[in-house]
Amino acid sequence: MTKRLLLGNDAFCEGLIAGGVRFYAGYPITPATEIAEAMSRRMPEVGGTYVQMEDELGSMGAIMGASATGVKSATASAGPGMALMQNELGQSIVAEIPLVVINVQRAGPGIGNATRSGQMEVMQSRYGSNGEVPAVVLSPSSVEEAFWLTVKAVNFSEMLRTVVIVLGEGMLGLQRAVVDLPDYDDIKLAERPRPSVQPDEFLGNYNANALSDVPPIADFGAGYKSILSSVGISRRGGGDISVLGLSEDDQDFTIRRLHQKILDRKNEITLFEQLMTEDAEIVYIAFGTQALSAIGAMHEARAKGIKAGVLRLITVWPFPEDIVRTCCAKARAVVVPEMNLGQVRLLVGSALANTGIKIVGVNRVDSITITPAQILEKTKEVLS
Amino acid sequence: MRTEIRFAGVGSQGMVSCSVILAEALGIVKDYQVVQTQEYAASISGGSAQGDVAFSDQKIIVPWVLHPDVLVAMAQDAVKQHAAAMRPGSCVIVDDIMVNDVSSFQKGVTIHWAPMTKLADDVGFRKCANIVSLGVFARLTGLLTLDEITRAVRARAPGRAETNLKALRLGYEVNLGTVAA
Repeated sequence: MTKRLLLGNDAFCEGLIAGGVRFYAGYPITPATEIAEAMSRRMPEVGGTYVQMEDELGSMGAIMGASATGVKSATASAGPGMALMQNELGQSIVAEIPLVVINVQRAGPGIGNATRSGQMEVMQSRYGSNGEVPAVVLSPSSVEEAFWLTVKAVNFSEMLRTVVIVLGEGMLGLQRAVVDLPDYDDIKLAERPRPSVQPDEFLGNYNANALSDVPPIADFGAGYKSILSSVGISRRGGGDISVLGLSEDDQDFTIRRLHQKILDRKNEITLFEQLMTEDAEIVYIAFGTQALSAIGAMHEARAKGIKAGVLRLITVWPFPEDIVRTCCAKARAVVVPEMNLGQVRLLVGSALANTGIKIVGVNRVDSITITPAQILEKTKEVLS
Repeated sequence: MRTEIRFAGVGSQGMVSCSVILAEALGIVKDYQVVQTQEYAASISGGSAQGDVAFSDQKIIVPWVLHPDVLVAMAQDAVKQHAAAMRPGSCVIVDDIMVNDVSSFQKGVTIHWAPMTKLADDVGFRKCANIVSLGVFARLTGLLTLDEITRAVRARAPGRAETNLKALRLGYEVNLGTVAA
Protein backbone atom coordinates (compact mmCIF):
# COMPACT_ATOMS: atom_id res chain seq x y z
CA MET A 1 0.00 0.00 0.00
CA THR A 2 1.24 3.48 -0.84
CA LYS A 3 -0.25 6.46 0.95
CA ARG A 4 -0.64 9.43 -1.39
CA LEU A 5 -2.49 12.70 -1.61
CA LEU A 6 -4.32 11.78 -4.79
CA LEU A 7 -6.34 13.93 -7.20
CA GLY A 8 -9.74 12.46 -8.10
CA ASN A 9 -8.90 12.49 -11.81
CA ASP A 10 -5.62 10.69 -11.03
CA ALA A 11 -7.64 8.12 -9.08
CA PHE A 12 -9.73 7.48 -12.22
CA CYS A 13 -6.51 7.09 -14.20
CA GLU A 14 -4.98 4.67 -11.69
CA GLY A 15 -8.24 2.72 -11.52
CA LEU A 16 -8.15 2.24 -15.28
CA ILE A 17 -4.55 1.03 -15.12
CA ALA A 18 -5.19 -1.26 -12.14
CA GLY A 19 -8.22 -2.60 -14.04
CA GLY A 20 -5.95 -3.59 -16.90
CA VAL A 21 -6.61 -0.79 -19.40
CA ARG A 22 -3.66 -0.50 -21.77
CA PHE A 23 -5.10 1.75 -24.48
CA TYR A 24 -6.39 5.25 -23.93
CA ALA A 25 -7.42 7.71 -26.61
CA GLY A 26 -8.49 11.10 -25.40
CA TYR A 27 -9.29 14.69 -26.07
CA PRO A 28 -8.89 17.18 -23.23
CA ILE A 29 -11.88 18.87 -21.65
CA THR A 30 -12.28 20.58 -18.29
CA PRO A 31 -12.85 19.13 -15.71
CA ALA A 32 -11.63 15.76 -17.05
CA THR A 33 -8.35 16.90 -18.62
CA GLU A 34 -6.12 15.56 -15.85
CA ILE A 35 -7.20 12.02 -16.74
CA ALA A 36 -5.81 12.39 -20.25
CA GLU A 37 -2.70 14.10 -18.88
CA ALA A 38 -2.08 11.32 -16.39
CA MET A 39 -2.76 8.60 -18.95
CA SER A 40 -0.34 10.17 -21.43
CA ARG A 41 2.35 9.87 -18.76
CA ARG A 42 1.32 6.51 -17.30
CA MET A 43 0.43 4.46 -20.39
CA PRO A 44 4.04 4.27 -21.69
CA GLU A 45 5.18 3.37 -18.15
CA VAL A 46 2.94 0.29 -18.05
CA GLY A 47 3.48 -0.80 -21.65
CA GLY A 48 0.24 0.70 -22.90
CA THR A 49 -0.62 3.20 -25.62
CA TYR A 50 -1.90 6.75 -25.32
CA VAL A 51 -3.24 8.55 -28.37
CA GLN A 52 -4.07 12.24 -28.38
CA MET A 53 -7.11 12.46 -30.66
CA GLU A 54 -8.51 15.30 -32.72
CA ASP A 55 -11.88 15.20 -30.96
CA GLU A 56 -14.21 13.04 -28.90
CA LEU A 57 -15.57 11.14 -31.91
CA GLY A 58 -12.04 10.16 -32.75
CA SER A 59 -11.44 9.05 -29.17
CA MET A 60 -14.42 6.73 -29.24
CA GLY A 61 -13.53 5.33 -32.65
CA ALA A 62 -9.98 4.66 -31.55
CA ILE A 63 -10.93 2.83 -28.36
CA MET A 64 -13.58 0.77 -30.20
CA GLY A 65 -10.90 -0.45 -32.57
CA ALA A 66 -8.33 -1.01 -29.86
CA SER A 67 -10.72 -3.01 -27.70
CA ALA A 68 -11.61 -5.15 -30.76
CA THR A 69 -8.00 -6.33 -30.76
CA GLY A 70 -8.46 -7.54 -27.18
CA VAL A 71 -6.78 -4.66 -25.35
CA LYS A 72 -8.82 -3.15 -22.53
CA SER A 73 -9.53 0.43 -23.61
CA ALA A 74 -10.98 3.61 -22.17
CA THR A 75 -11.52 7.32 -22.60
CA ALA A 76 -12.84 10.20 -20.50
CA SER A 77 -14.71 13.40 -21.17
CA ALA A 78 -17.29 15.84 -19.82
CA GLY A 79 -20.80 16.92 -20.88
CA PRO A 80 -20.23 18.42 -24.35
CA GLY A 81 -17.79 15.63 -25.23
CA MET A 82 -20.20 13.01 -23.96
CA ALA A 83 -22.88 14.51 -26.20
CA LEU A 84 -20.59 14.10 -29.19
CA MET A 85 -19.80 10.51 -28.22
CA GLN A 86 -23.39 9.26 -28.13
CA ASN A 87 -23.31 7.75 -31.62
CA GLU A 88 -20.22 5.62 -30.95
CA LEU A 89 -21.37 4.84 -27.43
CA GLY A 90 -24.54 3.27 -28.78
CA GLN A 91 -22.65 1.49 -31.53
CA SER A 92 -20.18 0.02 -29.02
CA ILE A 93 -23.03 -1.22 -26.83
CA VAL A 94 -24.81 -2.99 -29.72
CA ALA A 95 -21.54 -4.24 -31.21
CA GLU A 96 -20.82 -5.52 -27.67
CA ILE A 97 -17.34 -4.03 -27.46
CA PRO A 98 -16.11 -3.77 -23.85
CA LEU A 99 -15.16 -0.17 -23.03
CA VAL A 100 -15.00 2.20 -20.09
CA VAL A 101 -15.94 5.85 -20.52
CA ILE A 102 -15.49 8.27 -17.63
CA ASN A 103 -17.71 11.33 -17.57
CA VAL A 104 -16.43 14.01 -15.19
CA GLN A 105 -19.61 16.06 -15.22
CA ARG A 106 -19.42 19.81 -15.54
CA ALA A 107 -22.43 22.06 -15.01
CA GLY A 108 -25.10 23.14 -17.41
CA PRO A 109 -26.36 22.43 -20.90
CA GLY A 110 -24.57 23.29 -24.13
CA ILE A 111 -20.95 24.15 -23.46
CA GLY A 112 -22.00 24.74 -19.87
CA ASN A 113 -19.74 26.07 -17.17
CA ALA A 114 -16.43 24.31 -17.68
CA THR A 115 -14.89 24.73 -14.25
CA ARG A 116 -18.07 24.09 -12.30
CA SER A 117 -19.58 20.82 -11.23
CA GLY A 118 -22.95 19.17 -11.71
CA GLN A 119 -24.91 15.91 -11.76
CA MET A 120 -26.96 16.57 -14.85
CA GLU A 121 -26.16 13.53 -16.97
CA VAL A 122 -28.00 10.73 -15.18
CA MET A 123 -30.54 10.50 -17.98
CA GLN A 124 -28.07 11.21 -20.78
CA SER A 125 -26.01 8.24 -19.59
CA ARG A 126 -29.02 5.99 -20.02
CA TYR A 127 -31.00 7.51 -22.87
CA GLY A 128 -28.41 9.51 -24.81
CA SER A 129 -28.07 7.01 -27.67
CA ASN A 130 -30.66 5.96 -30.18
CA GLY A 131 -32.48 2.67 -30.43
CA GLU A 132 -33.17 1.28 -26.96
CA VAL A 133 -29.67 0.50 -25.78
CA PRO A 134 -29.04 -0.47 -22.15
CA ALA A 135 -26.58 1.29 -19.85
CA VAL A 136 -24.32 0.34 -16.99
CA VAL A 137 -23.40 3.44 -14.99
CA LEU A 138 -21.42 3.63 -11.75
CA SER A 139 -21.01 6.77 -9.66
CA PRO A 140 -18.29 7.23 -7.02
CA SER A 141 -18.57 9.59 -4.05
CA SER A 142 -14.96 9.90 -2.94
CA VAL A 143 -11.45 9.87 -4.38
CA GLU A 144 -10.75 6.42 -2.98
CA GLU A 145 -13.98 5.09 -4.42
CA ALA A 146 -13.13 6.69 -7.78
CA PHE A 147 -10.18 4.31 -7.91
CA TRP A 148 -11.98 1.13 -6.86
CA LEU A 149 -15.11 1.78 -8.87
CA THR A 150 -13.10 2.39 -12.03
CA VAL A 151 -11.42 -1.01 -11.53
CA LYS A 152 -14.91 -2.50 -11.18
CA ALA A 153 -16.08 -0.64 -14.28
CA VAL A 154 -13.35 -2.30 -16.34
CA ASN A 155 -14.27 -5.69 -14.88
CA PHE A 156 -18.00 -5.21 -15.53
CA SER A 157 -17.35 -4.05 -19.11
CA GLU A 158 -15.40 -7.25 -19.78
CA MET A 159 -17.84 -9.54 -18.01
CA LEU A 160 -20.85 -8.06 -19.82
CA ARG A 161 -19.23 -7.18 -23.15
CA THR A 162 -20.62 -3.69 -22.93
CA VAL A 163 -19.74 -0.05 -22.29
CA VAL A 164 -19.59 1.00 -18.64
CA ILE A 165 -19.83 4.69 -17.87
CA VAL A 166 -18.22 5.99 -14.69
CA LEU A 167 -20.25 9.05 -13.77
CA GLY A 168 -17.87 11.40 -12.01
CA GLU A 169 -18.24 15.07 -11.20
CA GLY A 170 -15.99 18.10 -11.47
CA MET A 171 -15.98 18.49 -7.71
CA LEU A 172 -14.72 14.91 -7.38
CA GLY A 173 -12.28 14.93 -10.30
CA LEU A 174 -10.64 18.06 -8.92
CA GLN A 175 -10.68 16.94 -5.29
CA ARG A 176 -7.70 15.48 -3.45
CA ALA A 177 -7.69 13.04 -0.56
CA VAL A 178 -5.18 10.79 1.15
CA VAL A 179 -5.59 7.35 -0.35
CA ASP A 180 -3.81 4.04 0.22
CA LEU A 181 -3.43 2.48 -3.21
CA PRO A 182 -3.04 -1.30 -3.25
CA ASP A 183 -0.51 -3.37 -5.15
CA TYR A 184 -2.21 -3.69 -8.53
CA ASP A 185 -1.02 -7.27 -8.93
CA ASP A 186 -3.30 -8.23 -6.03
CA ILE A 187 -6.45 -7.00 -7.78
CA LYS A 188 -8.70 -9.60 -9.36
CA LEU A 189 -9.44 -8.78 -12.99
CA ALA A 190 -12.18 -10.03 -15.29
CA GLU A 191 -11.65 -10.99 -18.92
CA ARG A 192 -14.18 -10.98 -21.73
CA PRO A 193 -15.36 -14.42 -22.91
CA ARG A 194 -13.16 -15.58 -25.80
CA PRO A 195 -13.76 -18.47 -28.23
CA SER A 196 -13.06 -21.96 -26.91
CA VAL A 197 -13.33 -23.47 -30.41
CA GLN A 198 -10.90 -23.54 -33.32
CA PRO A 199 -11.16 -20.72 -35.87
CA ASP A 200 -12.91 -22.91 -38.48
CA GLU A 201 -15.65 -23.79 -35.97
CA PHE A 202 -16.19 -20.22 -34.81
CA LEU A 203 -19.71 -18.93 -35.50
CA GLY A 204 -18.86 -15.26 -35.08
CA ASN A 205 -18.97 -12.77 -32.25
CA TYR A 206 -22.76 -12.96 -31.75
CA ASN A 207 -23.33 -16.66 -31.19
CA ALA A 208 -26.04 -16.36 -28.54
CA ASN A 209 -28.95 -18.71 -27.97
CA ALA A 210 -30.39 -17.51 -24.67
CA LEU A 211 -31.33 -13.99 -23.68
CA SER A 212 -28.80 -14.00 -20.86
CA ASP A 213 -25.88 -15.04 -23.09
CA VAL A 214 -22.71 -12.97 -23.31
CA PRO A 215 -21.22 -14.60 -26.42
CA PRO A 216 -17.47 -15.11 -26.87
CA ILE A 217 -15.63 -12.42 -28.81
CA ALA A 218 -12.52 -13.14 -30.88
CA ASP A 219 -9.69 -10.62 -30.81
CA PHE A 220 -8.90 -9.06 -34.18
CA GLY A 221 -5.70 -10.63 -35.41
CA ALA A 222 -6.07 -13.84 -33.42
CA GLY A 223 -6.83 -15.96 -36.49
CA TYR A 224 -10.60 -15.98 -36.19
CA LYS A 225 -13.10 -14.49 -38.61
CA SER A 226 -14.01 -11.74 -36.18
CA ILE A 227 -16.58 -9.22 -37.36
CA LEU A 228 -18.08 -6.62 -35.06
CA SER A 229 -21.38 -5.14 -36.15
CA SER A 230 -22.89 -1.87 -35.10
CA VAL A 231 -26.10 -2.75 -36.92
CA GLY A 232 -27.56 -3.83 -33.63
CA ILE A 233 -29.31 -6.88 -35.00
CA SER A 234 -27.66 -10.28 -35.16
CA ARG A 235 -28.80 -13.80 -35.92
CA ARG A 236 -29.85 -16.03 -33.05
CA GLY A 237 -27.27 -18.79 -32.90
CA GLY A 238 -24.57 -16.72 -34.58
CA GLY A 239 -23.28 -16.97 -38.12
CA ASP A 240 -23.78 -14.46 -40.91
CA ILE A 241 -24.53 -11.02 -39.51
CA SER A 242 -25.45 -9.16 -42.69
CA VAL A 243 -28.73 -7.31 -42.26
CA LEU A 244 -30.23 -8.97 -45.32
CA GLY A 245 -32.10 -12.05 -44.29
CA LEU A 246 -32.43 -11.16 -40.63
CA SER A 247 -35.89 -11.80 -39.28
CA GLU A 248 -38.19 -9.97 -36.91
CA ASP A 249 -37.33 -12.70 -34.43
CA ASP A 250 -33.61 -11.93 -34.77
CA GLN A 251 -34.27 -8.26 -34.12
CA ASP A 252 -36.46 -8.97 -31.13
CA PHE A 253 -33.97 -11.44 -29.73
CA THR A 254 -30.98 -9.12 -30.16
CA ILE A 255 -32.53 -6.07 -28.56
CA ARG A 256 -33.96 -8.02 -25.65
CA ARG A 257 -30.68 -9.89 -25.13
CA LEU A 258 -28.63 -6.67 -24.96
CA HIS A 259 -30.73 -5.75 -21.92
CA GLN A 260 -31.26 -9.17 -20.45
CA LYS A 261 -27.57 -10.12 -20.35
CA ILE A 262 -27.15 -7.15 -18.00
CA LEU A 263 -30.37 -7.58 -15.99
CA ASP A 264 -29.61 -11.25 -15.35
CA ARG A 265 -26.39 -10.14 -13.67
CA LYS A 266 -27.98 -7.21 -11.84
CA ASN A 267 -27.17 -8.63 -8.41
CA GLU A 268 -23.48 -8.72 -9.24
CA ILE A 269 -23.34 -5.18 -10.61
CA THR A 270 -25.75 -3.39 -8.27
CA LEU A 271 -23.57 -1.59 -5.75
CA PHE A 272 -25.01 0.56 -3.00
CA GLU A 273 -24.46 1.70 0.57
CA GLN A 274 -27.31 1.49 3.01
CA LEU A 275 -27.02 3.39 6.31
CA MET A 276 -29.53 3.20 9.17
CA THR A 277 -32.44 2.50 6.85
CA GLU A 278 -33.87 -0.36 8.95
CA ASP A 279 -35.97 1.91 11.17
CA ALA A 280 -35.78 5.07 9.05
CA GLU A 281 -38.93 7.12 8.74
CA ILE A 282 -37.11 9.41 6.36
CA VAL A 283 -34.65 8.10 3.79
CA TYR A 284 -32.21 10.23 1.83
CA ILE A 285 -31.47 8.74 -1.58
CA ALA A 286 -28.47 10.24 -3.34
CA PHE A 287 -25.49 9.43 -5.54
CA GLY A 288 -22.00 10.76 -6.20
CA THR A 289 -20.64 13.61 -4.11
CA GLN A 290 -24.05 14.72 -2.93
CA ALA A 291 -24.56 11.44 -1.11
CA LEU A 292 -21.89 12.63 1.34
CA SER A 293 -23.98 15.66 2.25
CA ALA A 294 -26.88 13.25 2.73
CA ILE A 295 -24.81 11.14 5.13
CA GLY A 296 -23.80 14.30 7.00
CA ALA A 297 -27.48 15.28 7.24
CA MET A 298 -28.39 11.80 8.47
CA HIS A 299 -25.96 12.06 11.40
CA GLU A 300 -27.28 15.51 12.30
CA ALA A 301 -30.88 14.30 12.04
CA ARG A 302 -30.21 11.27 14.25
CA ALA A 303 -28.57 13.56 16.82
CA LYS A 304 -31.87 15.49 16.90
CA GLY A 305 -33.87 12.30 17.36
CA ILE A 306 -35.12 12.06 13.77
CA LYS A 307 -34.98 8.52 12.40
CA ALA A 308 -33.13 9.22 9.16
CA GLY A 309 -31.33 6.80 6.88
CA VAL A 310 -29.37 6.95 3.65
CA LEU A 311 -29.39 4.90 0.49
CA ARG A 312 -26.29 5.83 -1.48
CA LEU A 313 -26.64 4.67 -5.06
CA ILE A 314 -23.28 3.55 -6.43
CA THR A 315 -24.73 1.73 -9.43
CA VAL A 316 -27.08 4.28 -10.96
CA TRP A 317 -28.00 2.18 -14.03
CA PRO A 318 -29.54 -0.32 -14.15
CA PHE A 319 -31.57 1.62 -11.58
CA PRO A 320 -32.03 -0.54 -8.46
CA GLU A 321 -35.81 -0.14 -7.90
CA ASP A 322 -35.92 -3.20 -5.63
CA ILE A 323 -33.19 -1.82 -3.34
CA VAL A 324 -35.03 1.52 -3.18
CA ARG A 325 -38.22 -0.27 -2.12
CA THR A 326 -36.42 -2.37 0.51
CA CYS A 327 -34.65 0.64 2.02
CA CYS A 328 -37.87 2.62 2.22
CA ALA A 329 -39.95 -0.12 3.82
CA LYS A 330 -40.55 1.92 7.00
CA ALA A 331 -40.27 5.37 5.41
CA ARG A 332 -42.91 8.07 5.54
CA ALA A 333 -40.89 10.29 3.26
CA VAL A 334 -37.90 10.27 0.94
CA VAL A 335 -35.64 13.22 0.19
CA VAL A 336 -33.55 13.09 -2.96
CA PRO A 337 -30.74 15.68 -2.97
CA GLU A 338 -29.10 16.02 -6.37
CA MET A 339 -27.35 18.71 -8.41
CA ASN A 340 -29.94 18.67 -11.19
CA LEU A 341 -33.67 19.37 -11.32
CA GLY A 342 -34.79 15.92 -10.21
CA GLN A 343 -33.51 13.16 -12.49
CA VAL A 344 -33.03 10.54 -9.75
CA ARG A 345 -36.16 11.76 -7.96
CA LEU A 346 -38.12 10.73 -11.06
CA LEU A 347 -36.69 7.20 -10.85
CA VAL A 348 -37.31 6.95 -7.12
CA GLY A 349 -40.88 8.08 -7.74
CA SER A 350 -41.34 5.31 -10.24
CA ALA A 351 -39.82 2.73 -7.87
CA LEU A 352 -42.08 3.82 -5.02
CA ALA A 353 -45.24 4.30 -7.06
CA ASN A 354 -48.46 3.58 -5.14
CA THR A 355 -46.67 3.27 -1.78
CA GLY A 356 -47.96 6.58 -0.44
CA ILE A 357 -44.44 7.60 0.52
CA LYS A 358 -43.89 11.34 0.06
CA ILE A 359 -40.97 12.04 -2.27
CA VAL A 360 -39.33 15.45 -2.42
CA GLY A 361 -36.11 16.77 -3.91
CA VAL A 362 -33.41 19.17 -2.83
CA ASN A 363 -32.09 20.46 -6.11
CA ARG A 364 -29.32 22.85 -7.02
CA VAL A 365 -28.11 23.75 -10.49
CA ASP A 366 -25.79 26.60 -9.48
CA SER A 367 -22.76 24.28 -9.04
CA ILE A 368 -22.73 24.87 -5.30
CA THR A 369 -22.93 21.75 -3.20
CA ILE A 370 -26.10 20.92 -1.34
CA THR A 371 -25.31 21.19 2.36
CA PRO A 372 -26.43 18.87 5.16
CA ALA A 373 -28.29 21.88 6.60
CA GLN A 374 -30.40 22.22 3.45
CA ILE A 375 -31.32 18.54 3.58
CA LEU A 376 -32.24 18.89 7.26
CA GLU A 377 -34.41 21.88 6.51
CA LYS A 378 -36.28 19.87 3.89
CA THR A 379 -36.57 16.99 6.37
CA LYS A 380 -38.32 19.16 8.93
CA GLU A 381 -40.60 20.55 6.24
CA VAL A 382 -41.60 17.16 4.93
CA LEU A 383 -42.12 15.53 8.35
CA SER A 384 -44.14 18.44 9.78
CA MET B 1 -11.91 17.20 15.65
CA ARG B 2 -12.70 18.59 12.22
CA THR B 3 -11.06 21.83 11.10
CA GLU B 4 -11.74 23.75 7.89
CA ILE B 5 -9.30 26.05 6.08
CA ARG B 6 -9.87 28.23 3.03
CA PHE B 7 -7.35 30.06 0.86
CA ALA B 8 -9.09 32.64 -1.31
CA GLY B 9 -7.94 35.20 -3.82
CA VAL B 10 -7.98 35.65 -7.56
CA GLY B 11 -6.83 33.19 -10.20
CA SER B 12 -3.00 33.09 -10.61
CA GLN B 13 -2.32 33.98 -6.96
CA GLY B 14 -1.80 30.29 -6.22
CA MET B 15 -4.65 29.75 -3.79
CA VAL B 16 -5.42 26.23 -5.04
CA SER B 17 -1.70 25.41 -4.84
CA CYS B 18 -1.70 26.60 -1.23
CA SER B 19 -4.50 24.21 -0.37
CA VAL B 20 -2.71 21.32 -2.09
CA ILE B 21 0.53 22.00 -0.19
CA LEU B 22 -1.34 22.29 3.10
CA ALA B 23 -3.23 19.05 2.38
CA GLU B 24 0.10 17.34 1.69
CA ALA B 25 1.52 18.68 4.96
CA LEU B 26 -1.47 17.64 7.06
CA GLY B 27 -2.22 14.36 5.32
CA ILE B 28 1.22 12.98 4.46
CA VAL B 29 3.80 14.80 6.63
CA LYS B 30 1.41 14.68 9.60
CA ASP B 31 -1.09 11.86 9.70
CA TYR B 32 -4.48 13.56 9.55
CA GLN B 33 -7.45 12.56 7.40
CA VAL B 34 -7.57 15.25 4.72
CA VAL B 35 -9.78 16.29 1.83
CA GLN B 36 -8.80 19.17 -0.46
CA THR B 37 -11.35 20.78 -2.77
CA GLN B 38 -11.22 23.77 -5.07
CA GLU B 39 -13.34 26.25 -6.96
CA TYR B 40 -12.26 28.65 -9.63
CA ALA B 41 -13.97 30.71 -12.28
CA ALA B 42 -13.78 29.77 -15.96
CA SER B 43 -11.80 32.97 -16.57
CA ILE B 44 -9.08 31.29 -14.42
CA SER B 45 -6.50 34.11 -14.34
CA GLY B 46 -8.06 37.06 -12.53
CA GLY B 47 -11.33 35.29 -11.70
CA SER B 48 -12.24 34.18 -8.21
CA ALA B 49 -10.22 31.22 -6.93
CA GLN B 50 -10.32 29.24 -3.73
CA GLY B 51 -8.60 26.19 -2.34
CA ASP B 52 -10.18 24.42 0.64
CA VAL B 53 -8.84 21.88 3.12
CA ALA B 54 -10.84 19.91 5.66
CA PHE B 55 -8.85 17.80 8.09
CA SER B 56 -9.58 15.69 11.10
CA ASP B 57 -8.20 12.89 13.26
CA GLN B 58 -11.29 10.92 12.21
CA LYS B 59 -12.77 9.88 8.88
CA ILE B 60 -14.06 12.86 6.92
CA ILE B 61 -17.57 12.28 5.59
CA VAL B 62 -18.64 15.64 4.21
CA PRO B 63 -15.67 16.94 2.20
CA TRP B 64 -16.93 20.49 1.71
CA VAL B 65 -15.60 23.48 3.58
CA LEU B 66 -18.73 25.43 4.52
CA HIS B 67 -17.63 27.54 7.50
CA PRO B 68 -13.85 27.93 7.56
CA ASP B 69 -12.11 28.02 10.92
CA VAL B 70 -9.31 29.89 9.16
CA LEU B 71 -9.61 31.99 6.02
CA VAL B 72 -6.54 33.30 4.20
CA ALA B 73 -7.74 36.19 2.03
CA MET B 74 -5.34 37.52 -0.59
CA ALA B 75 -7.77 39.87 -2.38
CA GLN B 76 -10.55 42.29 -1.49
CA ASP B 77 -12.98 40.33 -3.66
CA ALA B 78 -12.19 37.23 -1.60
CA VAL B 79 -13.18 39.06 1.58
CA LYS B 80 -16.40 40.14 -0.05
CA GLN B 81 -17.14 36.62 -1.27
CA HIS B 82 -16.34 34.66 1.88
CA ALA B 83 -17.00 37.00 4.86
CA ALA B 84 -20.52 35.68 5.36
CA ALA B 85 -19.27 32.10 5.77
CA MET B 86 -17.07 33.04 8.74
CA ARG B 87 -18.53 32.41 12.17
CA PRO B 88 -17.59 33.96 15.53
CA GLY B 89 -14.48 32.28 16.90
CA SER B 90 -12.94 31.82 13.46
CA CYS B 91 -9.97 33.78 12.24
CA VAL B 92 -8.89 35.48 9.05
CA ILE B 93 -5.42 36.23 7.72
CA VAL B 94 -5.65 39.13 5.28
CA ASP B 95 -3.00 40.54 2.99
CA ASP B 96 -2.27 44.10 4.09
CA ILE B 97 -1.75 45.41 0.57
CA MET B 98 -4.44 43.55 -1.40
CA VAL B 99 -7.16 43.93 1.25
CA ASN B 100 -8.19 47.22 2.85
CA ASP B 101 -11.75 46.75 4.07
CA VAL B 102 -12.67 44.01 6.56
CA SER B 103 -15.88 45.57 7.83
CA SER B 104 -17.96 42.76 6.31
CA PHE B 105 -16.82 40.19 8.90
CA GLN B 106 -19.18 39.72 11.79
CA LYS B 107 -18.21 40.34 15.42
CA GLY B 108 -16.13 37.61 16.99
CA VAL B 109 -14.00 36.94 13.92
CA THR B 110 -10.32 37.66 14.64
CA ILE B 111 -8.47 39.43 11.88
CA HIS B 112 -4.72 39.19 11.40
CA TRP B 113 -3.10 41.61 8.97
CA ALA B 114 -0.02 40.09 7.35
CA PRO B 115 2.40 41.62 4.82
CA MET B 116 2.35 38.58 2.53
CA THR B 117 2.55 40.37 -0.80
CA LYS B 118 5.14 42.78 0.62
CA LEU B 119 7.38 39.94 1.84
CA ALA B 120 7.06 38.20 -1.52
CA ASP B 121 8.20 41.45 -3.15
CA ASP B 122 11.15 41.49 -0.74
CA VAL B 123 12.10 38.03 -1.99
CA GLY B 124 11.85 39.43 -5.49
CA PHE B 125 8.92 37.31 -6.75
CA ARG B 126 5.38 38.48 -5.98
CA LYS B 127 3.84 35.20 -7.05
CA CYS B 128 5.27 33.46 -3.99
CA ALA B 129 3.01 35.51 -1.71
CA ASN B 130 0.96 32.32 -1.44
CA ILE B 131 3.96 30.48 0.00
CA VAL B 132 4.48 33.34 2.46
CA SER B 133 0.87 32.86 3.53
CA LEU B 134 1.55 29.18 4.26
CA GLY B 135 4.37 30.22 6.58
CA VAL B 136 2.12 32.74 8.33
CA PHE B 137 -0.63 30.12 8.59
CA ALA B 138 1.67 27.45 10.04
CA ARG B 139 3.06 29.74 12.72
CA LEU B 140 -0.22 31.38 13.64
CA THR B 141 -2.21 28.17 13.99
CA GLY B 142 0.65 26.16 15.47
CA LEU B 143 -0.51 23.24 13.33
CA LEU B 144 2.81 22.72 11.57
CA THR B 145 6.44 23.39 12.39
CA LEU B 146 8.59 25.20 9.85
CA ASP B 147 10.24 21.87 9.04
CA GLU B 148 6.89 20.13 8.44
CA ILE B 149 5.49 22.78 6.11
CA THR B 150 8.88 22.97 4.37
CA ARG B 151 8.70 19.26 3.54
CA ALA B 152 5.28 19.75 1.95
CA VAL B 153 6.44 22.78 -0.08
CA ARG B 154 9.42 20.77 -1.34
CA ALA B 155 7.15 17.88 -2.32
CA ARG B 156 4.44 19.89 -4.04
CA ALA B 157 6.27 22.97 -5.34
CA PRO B 158 9.76 21.74 -6.28
CA GLY B 159 10.38 24.54 -8.79
CA ARG B 160 12.02 27.77 -7.53
CA ALA B 161 12.82 25.91 -4.31
CA GLU B 162 15.23 28.50 -2.98
CA THR B 163 12.82 31.40 -3.50
CA ASN B 164 9.90 29.45 -2.10
CA LEU B 165 11.70 28.32 1.01
CA LYS B 166 12.95 31.84 1.68
CA ALA B 167 9.39 33.14 1.29
CA LEU B 168 8.08 30.40 3.58
CA ARG B 169 10.59 31.28 6.30
CA LEU B 170 9.79 35.01 6.07
CA GLY B 171 6.11 34.19 6.47
CA TYR B 172 6.79 31.90 9.41
CA GLU B 173 8.80 34.56 11.22
CA VAL B 174 6.55 37.57 10.57
CA ASN B 175 4.99 39.65 13.35
CA LEU B 176 1.27 40.06 12.82
CA GLY B 177 -0.96 43.01 13.40
CA THR B 178 -4.07 41.56 15.00
CA VAL B 179 -7.46 43.15 15.52
CA ALA B 180 -10.86 41.87 16.50
CA ALA B 181 -13.72 42.45 14.09
